[in-house]
Amino acid sequence: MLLQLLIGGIAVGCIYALIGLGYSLIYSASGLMSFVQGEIFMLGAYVAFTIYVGLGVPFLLAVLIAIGIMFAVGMLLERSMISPLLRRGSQQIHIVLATIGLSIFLKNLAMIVWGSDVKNFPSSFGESPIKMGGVSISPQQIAIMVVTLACMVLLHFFMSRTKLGTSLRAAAQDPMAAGVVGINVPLTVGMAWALAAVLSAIAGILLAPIYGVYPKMGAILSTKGFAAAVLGGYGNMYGAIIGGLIFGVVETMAAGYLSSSFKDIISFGVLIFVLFVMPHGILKVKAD
Amino acid sequence: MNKIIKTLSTTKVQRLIAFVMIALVVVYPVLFRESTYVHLILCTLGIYIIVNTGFDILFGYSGQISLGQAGFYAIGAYFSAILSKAGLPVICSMIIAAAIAAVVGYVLAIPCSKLVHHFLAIVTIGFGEIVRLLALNGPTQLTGGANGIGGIPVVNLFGFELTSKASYLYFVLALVLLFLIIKNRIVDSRVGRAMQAIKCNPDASEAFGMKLSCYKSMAFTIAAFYAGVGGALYAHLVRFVSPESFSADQSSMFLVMILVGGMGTFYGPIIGSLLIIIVTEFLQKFGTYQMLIYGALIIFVLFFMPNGIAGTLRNRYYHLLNKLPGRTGRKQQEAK
Amino acid sequence: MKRELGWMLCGTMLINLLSGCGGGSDAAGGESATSGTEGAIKIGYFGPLTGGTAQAGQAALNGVQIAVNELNESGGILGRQVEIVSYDDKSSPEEAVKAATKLVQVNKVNAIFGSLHSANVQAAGPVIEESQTLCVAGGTSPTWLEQGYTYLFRSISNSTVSAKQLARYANDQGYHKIALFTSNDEYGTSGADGFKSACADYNIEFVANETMTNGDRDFTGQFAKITAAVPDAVFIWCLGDDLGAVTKQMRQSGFSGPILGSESYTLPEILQNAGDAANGVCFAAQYLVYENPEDAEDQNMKTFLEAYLEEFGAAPASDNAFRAYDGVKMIAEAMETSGVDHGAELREAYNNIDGYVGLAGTFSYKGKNGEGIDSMRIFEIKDGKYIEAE
Repeated sequence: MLLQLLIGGIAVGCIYALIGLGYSLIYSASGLMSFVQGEIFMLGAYVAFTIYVGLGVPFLLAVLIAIGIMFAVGMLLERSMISPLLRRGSQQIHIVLATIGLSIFLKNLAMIVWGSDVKNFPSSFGESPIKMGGVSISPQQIAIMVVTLACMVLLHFFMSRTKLGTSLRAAAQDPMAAGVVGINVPLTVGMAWALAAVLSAIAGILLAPIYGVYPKMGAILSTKGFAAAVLGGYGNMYGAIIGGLIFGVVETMAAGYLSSSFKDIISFGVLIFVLFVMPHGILKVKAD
Repeated sequence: MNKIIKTLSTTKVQRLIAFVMIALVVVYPVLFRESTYVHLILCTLGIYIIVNTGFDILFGYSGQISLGQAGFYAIGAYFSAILSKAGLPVICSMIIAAAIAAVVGYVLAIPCSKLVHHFLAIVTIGFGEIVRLLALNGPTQLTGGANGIGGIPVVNLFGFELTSKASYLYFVLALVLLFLIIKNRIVDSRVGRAMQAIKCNPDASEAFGMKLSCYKSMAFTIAAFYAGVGGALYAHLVRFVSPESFSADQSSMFLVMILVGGMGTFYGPIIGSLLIIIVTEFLQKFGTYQMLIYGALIIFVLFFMPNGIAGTLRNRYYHLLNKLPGRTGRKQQEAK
Repeated sequence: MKRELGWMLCGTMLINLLSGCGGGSDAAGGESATSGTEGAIKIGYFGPLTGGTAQAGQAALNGVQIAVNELNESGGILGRQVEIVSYDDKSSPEEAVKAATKLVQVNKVNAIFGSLHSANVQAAGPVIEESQTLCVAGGTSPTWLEQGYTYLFRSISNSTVSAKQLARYANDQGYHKIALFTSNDEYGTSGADGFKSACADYNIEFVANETMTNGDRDFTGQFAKITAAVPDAVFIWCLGDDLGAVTKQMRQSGFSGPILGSESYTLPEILQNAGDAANGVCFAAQYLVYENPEDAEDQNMKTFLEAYLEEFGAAPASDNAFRAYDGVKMIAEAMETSGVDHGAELREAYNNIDGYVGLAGTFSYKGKNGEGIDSMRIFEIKDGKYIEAE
């Protein structure tokens, strides 16, 4: 049972980590808090669903198109809403308000466009669980872990090895200096939002076969993804991953060994306790 | 009557306006005794103003974000409901419930006073969720679990049962005024100025010998007390409480209200509460589309008033506002 | 300070007044409307039109619409046309109270159908009782009819009835070790409580008691516990939007035995989402949500579905459409028999309904404290189809 719970916890934790990474990216690039990640997650699942099931495009192609669309959505979000607001002199907290407004808008838009019922997203990895000595893992869970790992490795190399990635980090550390040395700062900030949207969308597509696709699907996960990002140390990429995994495992263990009614109480309790002991999260943010 | 007005205002015009206002407010619920619906909306408006006014002390003046105000709101509502059903006079139960909320706020402030921004945001989100889940899964005999508590007694004031919404409206109105005055006093006091100093520059404030955690937890306690009062008022207005009313959505609604109105201002929480309530009621006619429009409206407002209504107005019409009495205005006068 | 106080007073009063005037004129408009269109009977509706259960709320509103259309075509109630006034309660008790108050006080409706959430009905109870407005609701939790309200009625059986049927069924089938898996809200708790007390008469042991939060999708911990307990059957009581995922994951966690479920299994979306995993699910319900009117064996149901399809272009997304339809039709029946359109006499007439045949079956309210029906059929899902079980 322990192994079963551990695997389940890690699989959920991976999703929290993916969403949490989005929060961290946005924060490190623009110092903002976004409350729309959950709805981006939902939108990603819906777009993939529409292309894959609605239009009958092959799965991998559908996913690629969906990711492309979400990249554009993320970019558009930053270009057409966040940066104009900043230019108009909004304080950071009012950007938060704008993202809350947008999340309400998107949730209800999805409800009107696609309806509030749960849509079935067929799993392309098969439905029957794989049994390994008393532990049953669904192929989707394996896919979640593999894809998350791949995303993290890719993101790591992107950030540390590519020109775009390093310029993104530079722009995050000091926008003005980055601009002086010729980095296109607005583009890189938009890039961070777009990448965050892509990560959330990937999480959405990965979870869609388990969750089903419906307008409310992002509501719970966005909070937990946020918790993951904060727990690990907000703005720190690796922190978000650690935070996500811890949060996922604690939650599943609490449901398995203690009481499922108190699952969320316990996981949030642990969160508060950790932040009490380490007020800046597990990994401290390097550049503030 | 004249004496009251005299103490309330100094110029003749103000006195006249105040007189007309008081007369209207006093007469209004009597005249429209039948429009329970309007009274109900006004009562909820009053409750939200109280909660948001307290929240503003925490958020606008001391600069600490909270996404868990619904937690305190729930504590106020539940404790007042339970205590009054156990036979305590409603007024007592309300005060005790608000006091419990304040104590919880103080306790929560212990870990919170060290946290900033998103760290604080997630802890308060977690707190709100924990309170809601405790109401749902905790001692079910007490909280009624998912079924909630029904049949909560009405407020009994010196032998008068405030059964009608009109009479309850007077009660709420009195409390709104009381708490607005208290806020004004706090904000202009040494404590309030310390809070604002800490918000602007924590390091400098500490260097001047202010105890950060002390003032920060004080703000938390006050905000929790306000929310607790609001929750208790809610419980005796609707006379039914269940965990569904205290979800994270409620917390973010408080945040939206205060941000739309403008934080750190006197009128901000009032404008915000009023606007959101009117807008949501007005949007009812759009059926399925109402929340879509609501979300779009928030963004729309921000594009024209990037710092909330009161905040933007204050920035834009600073010179005009200086002529009005109020915090900003008076400071300017003093400076002169 | 004094001046400040003065301004503060002015400000609050102004606000008070502003909103007061707005609402006041609204109220006046409502009154004139009633007196102006003497003849029109108003049926109020409040339920979720936005939010997670919007689809159910919309289906219920559509059900009301179908009933009203039918009534108007056959000459209305008491020779007067019928109109609908609907408000969104956003699944929140507070909004429900506002909506109900507005219905009874501003719109002065004759009778109400709403809400679908038991908590919302309970919150609106005092308002409805005070205004002496007949209110028929679709929430299945027994609690709101146990509060002593006399103007509230239910147009479906409560969850204890289905729980009882399922308990008897479980006993007949020889399931003695049952694991409970319920949602962590009023719907799940009332279902679980009903089932537990119904099982007290039989030799049934509960080997696990797990809960979930509506919207959550990670049940690894709960299911690990349930499968470890090796139950004969699992009792699942969750809202419709969770059931598909719950059933699928239950099967994936390695449990292949029978599932005793809530009546939400009637929703077509669950068969689609759970696929093969739904095979072996048994549930008690009054009706199925047919996609195609031809499938319905009951003539009333067939007519209703055909009308629904014609009006809205799709089959109902939720069985709440049936509850609403039954409710409104019975309100009309009560108005016809009593000859009044409001108040205590109408309530009396509704309470006297005996043997009314609706979509759910035969309703008799007399002496049942607002409950109208207590029979249910047990269905089983086999090869992706509903089959009535013995």
